[in-house]
Amino acid sequence: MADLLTRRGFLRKAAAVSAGAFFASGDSARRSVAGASLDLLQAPFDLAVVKGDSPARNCIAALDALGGLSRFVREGAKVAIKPNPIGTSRPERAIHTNPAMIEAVIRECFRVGAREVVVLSNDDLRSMELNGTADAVAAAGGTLKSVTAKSDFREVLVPRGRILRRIELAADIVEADCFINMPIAKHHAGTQVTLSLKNMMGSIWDRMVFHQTDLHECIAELGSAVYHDLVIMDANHVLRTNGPAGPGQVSRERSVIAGADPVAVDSFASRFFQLEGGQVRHIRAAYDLGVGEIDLAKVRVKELEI
Amino acid sequence: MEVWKSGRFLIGATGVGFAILILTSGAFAGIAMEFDRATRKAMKGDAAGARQEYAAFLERAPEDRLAPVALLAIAEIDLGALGDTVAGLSNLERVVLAYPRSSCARDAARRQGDCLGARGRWREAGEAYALALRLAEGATSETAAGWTTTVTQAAADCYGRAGMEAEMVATYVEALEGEPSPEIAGTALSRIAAYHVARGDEAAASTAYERLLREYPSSEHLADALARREMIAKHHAIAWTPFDAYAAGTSLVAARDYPAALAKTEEALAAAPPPALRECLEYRKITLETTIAGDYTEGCRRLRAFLREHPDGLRSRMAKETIEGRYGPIAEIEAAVAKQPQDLELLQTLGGSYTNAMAGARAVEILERAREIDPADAQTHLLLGYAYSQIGRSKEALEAFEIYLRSNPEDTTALNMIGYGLLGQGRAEEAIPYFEKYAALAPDDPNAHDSLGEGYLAAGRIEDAAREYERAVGINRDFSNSHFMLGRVYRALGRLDDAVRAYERFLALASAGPQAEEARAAIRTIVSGAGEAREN
Repeated sequence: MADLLTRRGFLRKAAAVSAGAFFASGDSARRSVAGASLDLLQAPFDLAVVKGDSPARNCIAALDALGGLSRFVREGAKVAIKPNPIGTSRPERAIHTNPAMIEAVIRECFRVGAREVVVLSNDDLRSMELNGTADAVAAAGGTLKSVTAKSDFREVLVPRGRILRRIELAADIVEADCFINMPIAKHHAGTQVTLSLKNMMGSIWDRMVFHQTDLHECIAELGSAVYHDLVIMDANHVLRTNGPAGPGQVSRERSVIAGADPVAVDSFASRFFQLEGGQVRHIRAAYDLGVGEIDLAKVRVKELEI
Repeated sequence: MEVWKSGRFLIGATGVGFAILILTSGAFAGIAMEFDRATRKAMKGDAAGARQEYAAFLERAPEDRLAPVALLAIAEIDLGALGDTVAGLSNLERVVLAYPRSSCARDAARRQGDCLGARGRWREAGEAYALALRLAEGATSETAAGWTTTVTQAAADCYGRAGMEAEMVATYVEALEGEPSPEIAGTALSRIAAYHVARGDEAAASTAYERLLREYPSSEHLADALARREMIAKHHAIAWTPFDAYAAGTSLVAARDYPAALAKTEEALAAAPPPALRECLEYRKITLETTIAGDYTEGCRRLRAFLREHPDGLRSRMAKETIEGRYGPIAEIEAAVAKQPQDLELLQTLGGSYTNAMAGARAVEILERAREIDPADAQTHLLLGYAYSQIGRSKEALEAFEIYLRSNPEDTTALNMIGYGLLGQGRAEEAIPYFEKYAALAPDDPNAHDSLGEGYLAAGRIEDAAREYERAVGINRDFSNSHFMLGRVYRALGRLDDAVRAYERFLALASAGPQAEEARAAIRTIVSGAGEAREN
């Protein structure tokens, strides 16, 4: 019987496991921009980019520049927020979404009438406790979930998928009236950068197929299956090298980028890495699938310094 | 027409006045909304609704760049959620006919191949895949990594199953006439050679093998050629010494005996290897010396020089990935550790990086320093466990994992590692409780059942193993390893039809690699009925 096992080395499996461990009907902004006259009049910008010393204040100012969070979150809505909460280091090391931003967004959600705010990721709860995410969520009255059980996910179609046919997406995102993606801008050894599209890999059950096939293409296809109401990107500190887990070279950009279109947000954030969106294959592939706009000349950007 | 962009972004491009103008007409905004609504409806499980939105988009904007994307999405919904194969295949055909220059056309043809193959319509499936390959040649956007390899393999496989061996060989020949990846070229030459061997045409077979040796020595099929050396030698003059030394080095690398692998590499280099083999050997020498010395800054420098000399060679992609993904980051963390030698987090990161780079000895050295700084830090013990395992210090690895587990008793990764550590020492009965605890803590994790299956299998409990592998694929039907293991287990149990199905499912998920070869061979043997005992 032993020979049945010989082809699978202990370390091969161990490495895979280790890598795994590390590794409504409501109207949203985009639909409002596209079709609702009042919201359109209030929202002359597709992207808001705010620079300042306080991550939380940058965040709120960016939302204001887009016409306020009430354009995205209706009264009584359930809101799902997906940060990038990995690692246990300080925010200045730019490994995880700044907890102060998460806290500010949750408070703002409740202020505009949200019924429930769930902050989720398929990462380890312990690291979220150590890096301050858990305290931030609790302080603002949100609910933190480490979605790691199969029952936390729901199967979702990927009609525009070439590799993926279905994915198992966090049920809270599927059920939410409003989904907010809150990534941090980081270098990524496998995908050049990890921004909003890549951040969604932390909201699915089985990531292995991404790594076994074509990571960039799968990220784009995942983006085509998830309806983003809003993306709020933490670029206060940007990890420029040795991402996603760091430590690496960090540049202090003092920025928050917000918008409803993940491709446009990622395309803008690529600049922190001296890249155009089209030079990052998964951003380009997402554009090809109709997820959003990659050409920033076609996007109305409001840049503010506070 | 680019209506999509118009709908979403031009609304405000010239200000609110222009937006109001558009709203008055309503057309552009409507189209953008249809595409967005389709995404939302599909996400919410409303497949029919999503299909309707894509259809509305298509009707309004049949010339838009996203029209083939929408039509392919409709076909996917037909085939998947709605289970309407006839409509699905018909819509795939429409994509190919209406948008032959779009990258969607090649994907639609490939999808046709998948559907037809799944229904045993091998000839049509082979033809669909072949069409996909032809369409890919004219497409403007690049294919996904490994796309051509996979589709070529699938086309040849379907032709082979349909008994159309000439078409199978023609597919490979066509692949070789393009710019094949080294992987597909090696496979193609090996299959072409095998085809000629079966027909007694040794000269043609030898020519294919000779090309494999000369141009694609990095292929996993190198061993096929080496095994046929007597035949090849009748037709071609080959100096076998460097190939033999290279192959021996490959085995030693797999066994992590790096000094012996380096000695074999130097022996091969001294034996005047042909240019392609020399390139592979030079790459191996650099990586082995870097791993042994642990000097990743120097490793980066040498690999960059290697890339300047071989910018488009067999090992260029690997060299780039090694610099960007392994050596570069390690060199950077080393520099940070040199500045802050007492920073526990940095030491842990560096140790973990060395483990990932398969430099276990250096990882142990770094992590033992971390342990001295804080002996109680559980994370250090976990990382030490990985590092010790890598260099074969199994006893210390198990101790480290056990220490970690005291403060993290429900860490499934550590439980799994301990289980495999014990399995590696032949202590299956002791491993099983750890795997059982892992499965109890994470009953929805297919890997837990896969591991437990492996534990049972090692203990000779084949029926129990089968049950756990079945659970794994029940949770995740794409968990390829469990399908593969089910093939073996069913075969051992005499459940041959089940074994073939399991192997076929595995091949649908992973068509290349040693396991795929084994699965294909097993299917051939079972189907031919040679020496197989059925359960009844």
